[in-house]
Amino acid sequence: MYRLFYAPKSASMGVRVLLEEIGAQYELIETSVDMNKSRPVEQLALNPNGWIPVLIWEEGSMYECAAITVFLCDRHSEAGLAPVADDPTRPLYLQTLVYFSNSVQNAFQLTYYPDRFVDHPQDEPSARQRGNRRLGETWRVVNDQIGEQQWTLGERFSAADIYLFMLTTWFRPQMGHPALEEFPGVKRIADAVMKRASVQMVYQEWIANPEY
Amino acid sequence: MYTLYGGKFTRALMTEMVFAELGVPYELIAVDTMNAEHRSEAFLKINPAGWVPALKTPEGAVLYETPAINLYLAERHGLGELVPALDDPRRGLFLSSLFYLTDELEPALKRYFFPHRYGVRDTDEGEIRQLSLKAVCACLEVIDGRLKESGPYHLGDQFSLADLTLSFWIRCLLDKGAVSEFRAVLECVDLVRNRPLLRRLFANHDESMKAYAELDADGQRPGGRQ
Repeated sequence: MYRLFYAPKSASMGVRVLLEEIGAQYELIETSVDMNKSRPVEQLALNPNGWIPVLIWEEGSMYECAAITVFLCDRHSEAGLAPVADDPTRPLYLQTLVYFSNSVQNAFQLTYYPDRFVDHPQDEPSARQRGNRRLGETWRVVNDQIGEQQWTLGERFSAADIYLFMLTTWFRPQMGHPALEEFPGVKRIADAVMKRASVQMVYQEWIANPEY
Repeated sequence: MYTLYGGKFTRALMTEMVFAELGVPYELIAVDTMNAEHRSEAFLKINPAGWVPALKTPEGAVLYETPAINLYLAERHGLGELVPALDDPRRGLFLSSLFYLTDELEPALKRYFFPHRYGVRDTDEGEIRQLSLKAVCACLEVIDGRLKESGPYHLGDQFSLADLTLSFWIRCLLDKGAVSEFRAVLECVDLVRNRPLLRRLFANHDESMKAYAELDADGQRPGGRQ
């Protein structure tokens, strides 16, 4: 039985999709990503910076979305969501997760939270502008890597595709982000992932209204 | 045989440390990033993304992203040693620690070293660097708290790739005074850099950072403009 600290719009949604795909039993613990709202004490004890996802199970607890992805897919290898250790696509899988969680997610952070990167409010547009440029750069790398491949890692659907989909739900063209259509390979995969029953359930609200 | 493409001031040195701990032989090919060799036609044939370090596996696959390279090597050659085995209850803690360093500490350090990539105007750079150091310290405070509670390593008594990664980054900081209050972090770093297999590489690391500091003080940006 897993327990997941959870809030809509956050990376905890991607972990929830994984739990659904695995068919694991889990319970959601409501929390928030709003800087002005408090967090459950139990969450802060595990991850003092207050970020989610945070996952708890019988023997332990974890934080960091990419770390949880690697952990869950290895622990439930029978679900076939990731290449196992000796699979030739394991290097690409790890590389992709690192690129998503490090480069792409940080570009999003520059645009969503410019105040973390500059000291004065008057400088925030500069950071945001740079973030938008960085989003274009990083998603082009992802799109080029996908090329004509069916899925992010090639022929087989994997947790990397779920991660990719989660990231694409953060695009907000009205914030100056590039449009998803600029990255046709990414869009093709995101559209395919969206059809999955797990995603339809978890992202129901976003699917009904991407501006939710 | 593995081929590691690296060069001055790149994170290839961190991967060399992983190879040293694993006792796995490799060939190192220096790529002159100072003169943009990583964007040359010859290198783009090896790694179309144009990044170093890059690793070519004995099977011929090429991968980049240093934390992924390190995790891949450690899982393949050091499972149960440099990384916890798949059924080890500490595996979750290990992965969280490693990705925290990768996704929180490393980006803050990247802004510290390459402030020009994060602002639009040159005048933003001083401010970005100052704020990034604040972010670095915020990360270290979290890590320091954990190490105090259950150190000296991330996994208690067991050294792992997470400690190696932390130590590499701490020794990168030009402003070493900024981290002096994080005693548990510094204790962990001391243990790691005095490991017999790592001592020589950490000495190289210190030399390299000294050279970097001189370039930096001179207003040069070895990381280049991206």
